[in-house]
Amino acid sequence: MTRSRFFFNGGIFRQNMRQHGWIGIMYTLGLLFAVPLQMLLSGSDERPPLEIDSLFDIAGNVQMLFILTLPVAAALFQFRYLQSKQPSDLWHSLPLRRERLLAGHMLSGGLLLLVPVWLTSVLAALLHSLDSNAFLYQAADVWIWCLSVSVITVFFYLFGVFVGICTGQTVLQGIVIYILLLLPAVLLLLINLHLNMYLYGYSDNFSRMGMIENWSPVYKLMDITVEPFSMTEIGIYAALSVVFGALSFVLYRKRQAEKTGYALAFTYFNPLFKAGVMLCAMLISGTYFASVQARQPGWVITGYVLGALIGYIAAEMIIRKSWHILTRRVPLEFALYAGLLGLAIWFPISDWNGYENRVPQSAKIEGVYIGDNYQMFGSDMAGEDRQFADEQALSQDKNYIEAVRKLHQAIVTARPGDGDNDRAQYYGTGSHYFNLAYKLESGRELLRTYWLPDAGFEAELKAVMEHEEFKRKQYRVFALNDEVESFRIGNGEKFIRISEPGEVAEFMDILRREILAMSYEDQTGGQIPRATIQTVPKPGVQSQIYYNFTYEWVESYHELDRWLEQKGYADKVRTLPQEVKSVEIFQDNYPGKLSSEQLYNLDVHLQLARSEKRTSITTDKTVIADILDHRRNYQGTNGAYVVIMEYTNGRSEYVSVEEKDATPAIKALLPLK
Amino acid sequence: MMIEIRGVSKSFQGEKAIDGVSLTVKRGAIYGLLGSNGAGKTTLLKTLAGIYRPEEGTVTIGGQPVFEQPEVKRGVIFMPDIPYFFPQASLRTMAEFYRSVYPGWSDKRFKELEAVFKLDTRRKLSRFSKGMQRQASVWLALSCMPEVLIMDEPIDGLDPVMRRQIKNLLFQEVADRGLTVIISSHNLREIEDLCDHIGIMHHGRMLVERELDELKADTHKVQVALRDDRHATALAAKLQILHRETRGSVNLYIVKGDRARIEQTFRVYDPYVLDLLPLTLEEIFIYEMGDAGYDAQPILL
Repeated sequence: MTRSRFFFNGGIFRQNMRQHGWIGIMYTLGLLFAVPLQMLLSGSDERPPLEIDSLFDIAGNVQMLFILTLPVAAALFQFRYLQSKQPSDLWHSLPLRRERLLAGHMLSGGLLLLVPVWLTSVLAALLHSLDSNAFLYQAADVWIWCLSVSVITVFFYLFGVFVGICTGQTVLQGIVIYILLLLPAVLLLLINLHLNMYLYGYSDNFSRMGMIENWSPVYKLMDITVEPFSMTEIGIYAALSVVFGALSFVLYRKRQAEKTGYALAFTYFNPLFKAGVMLCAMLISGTYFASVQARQPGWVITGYVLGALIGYIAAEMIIRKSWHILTRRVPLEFALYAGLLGLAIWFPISDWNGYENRVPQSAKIEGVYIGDNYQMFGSDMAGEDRQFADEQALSQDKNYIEAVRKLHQAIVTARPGDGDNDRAQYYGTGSHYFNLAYKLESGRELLRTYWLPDAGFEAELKAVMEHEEFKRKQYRVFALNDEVESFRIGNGEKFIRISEPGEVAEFMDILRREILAMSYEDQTGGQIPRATIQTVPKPGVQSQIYYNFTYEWVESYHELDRWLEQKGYADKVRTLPQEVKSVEIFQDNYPGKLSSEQLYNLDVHLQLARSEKRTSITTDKTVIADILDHRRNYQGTNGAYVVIMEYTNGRSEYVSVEEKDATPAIKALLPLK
Repeated sequence: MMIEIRGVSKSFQGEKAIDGVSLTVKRGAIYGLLGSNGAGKTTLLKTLAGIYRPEEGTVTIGGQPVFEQPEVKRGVIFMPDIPYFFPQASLRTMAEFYRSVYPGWSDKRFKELEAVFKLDTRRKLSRFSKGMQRQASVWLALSCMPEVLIMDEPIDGLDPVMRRQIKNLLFQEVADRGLTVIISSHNLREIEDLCDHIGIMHHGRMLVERELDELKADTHKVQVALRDDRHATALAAKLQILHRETRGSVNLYIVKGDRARIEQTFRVYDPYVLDLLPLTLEEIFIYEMGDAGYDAQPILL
């Protein structure tokens, strides 16, 4: 028997074409619609062709839809014969070895799926030089697209076949294919959530690397227009295809024909299946209960047990194809599984390696970062900013390292917010969210994330936040460089542009100085910016991905004040007293009297003050000007003035003025307490 | 091709479907496999056809194991109890498929059989009636020119004329080419005129195996009125009596052995009445199995 005859049986091929040809036809039509047809249709004479980086940019979502479904459909329909008794008997009674059966089916399926891809590629290549083509792309883009789609198609198909050989029901096969394709990403996400919830200071490493979607081809395809496949990914999927293809051959030889209709074709997959379903159910249910009833260990444990029970019952029912699963063995087996999985879930959060309390010794630290945005620095995520990438996240300054270390030490000692999942209360006023990163001598990186209230950490925070290194990173001072062409300054209603090179340089200089000179109180006092300052990059820089960096003009920037006044820009960008219709003001003495939920709800404060007739309304421009100068976000301090401002454009907002900032004009408005 | 099954067992989810079954079918024989539903007939046949792998024991055809051996399976056709064809297929397309898979396929035979079956080869098989589908599968099977034909409950749904025609075709194939046939059925009457050997399965085991001609010639029903009851005891010592019952003064014996010898033995006692009657196959099995301690009625009918 010759080699070609071994692998290729004309009868199998023709039968496949006859029976499953429609899949190929649909794939062809779908891809032709999504790619070449769009090239011809979406163009118009007036519009120049759209320049694209990848053919996935052409109706990527439509492409995705077909790529995601049809290869799997082919695996389901073609290998239906494994899951159904009658066709199984027929195919397996034929004088063909299983390798040959499988190879015949796989080759037919591969051709059914790849010919449409190649046909589409050929058309895209032919249309490349056509004038009326709506898109402009390189010939190489066609090759890359062809390669990417071919590989991912084959991967989906072969993975589907592999799952088909391992399962015994077509419906289950379909469900399991997609679940397994999503599982790595979902599991990572769940584990992340889990660690985040129970491991104090856990820093979410995976989403930092933008890795979650890369762990699932389904996720990846859904985002295909944002980021096409890299060559590495194509290589990985090609390798995985080979692995699953080879496994299919090995397992098919062992598969028993009588397994049609069973959930799993190999009994030794049953424990794995059960444990997998239970683990996912436990994580989902436990995390859910923990997020709803955070402070009640009883509820949380109930959540995990319930998840385990649901997972076990579901898996058992699927395996036995019956809901009558209760036997004498079941409770014992469930206890064993639940116990082992519980241990597996508990172990990583048991702090077995001192994760929570570890603060490296200063001698071993090479660099340090603290701030709210570590992930923006230095990773090569798509869509991120080059300026961030260029800036070194870590600082080598010894004093700074020591200051950060001390803060870290204080945090792990006091453990603010430990066991409290409602971290929202640590956002905003009077609290901080910090990423902490150390680069250690050993080359390793130590990452932590904390939400902490400022209260109790003032000294440590001050040492860190007043350091130049902190401000440089946190307030993006590094982006005030010669790539800035001009500044756009405004308060949302009106704006000006500073673009004269001399002025730009002068302004930038002052702004940099002002930011670096901010005290701890300036940074945490909730100052409301008078205007925001946006950078506009030079034209050459613009073609790259570039954020328009935003800075603020706040009360504490006295030098900037003077410069803007002097240039006559100040009034053109800040809110003027005549733009305010009226203000209603009262002195707030509610902190301590209200519950913590109501403390920051100023509507409640206002109603109380009104009911006590302690508010006063004015349209006096001096008062308004004073308020505009000193306004801050409400800080929850006793004795501060709370103001509701009505603007002439109909907008209104709450601001507050600290007692120390209150001018005599403001004080005069209100009756003495 | 001689079929040899030796000590084959197969279980599903821990339950033995067949348990240590042995069986030999000589080339050119038509072997009938009898048993009630769930006796393990289909499992045994599928194991023989190389669809299932035997858990224990061996299955050989012509001395070669069957499972995953295309060289052996080329000469074997398995016909399932419910005919199955590819969706949308017609006889023509099925024939084309079998031609590409079975090297022994004969277009000539296919053409010849067209005259027998008179089915439309272009019509979709799914539109055929059950009987027509069964004819179609026999047609396709015989066109593959198999050496061994395995038929699972093949008689179901055929009209008497077609049934006789297929029977004749099988006889012809056996006579001309030495085809070996193994047929299963839950009803003895359906296949007794077809088979030359019969095996009865029950609960996954082979209960009895017999060659029919020998069996028919060998077992006799005797109605006798003896002159003296003591003669009965004497007879029991001389003959192989399977069964005996008394209806008034008349005794009914089922006796194994040579007809002439049996008659002679009875004559010695000069009974009032002596009748030797032919037995139906069904009766033979009922008595044989009763002798072996089984109630044959529910197993066979």
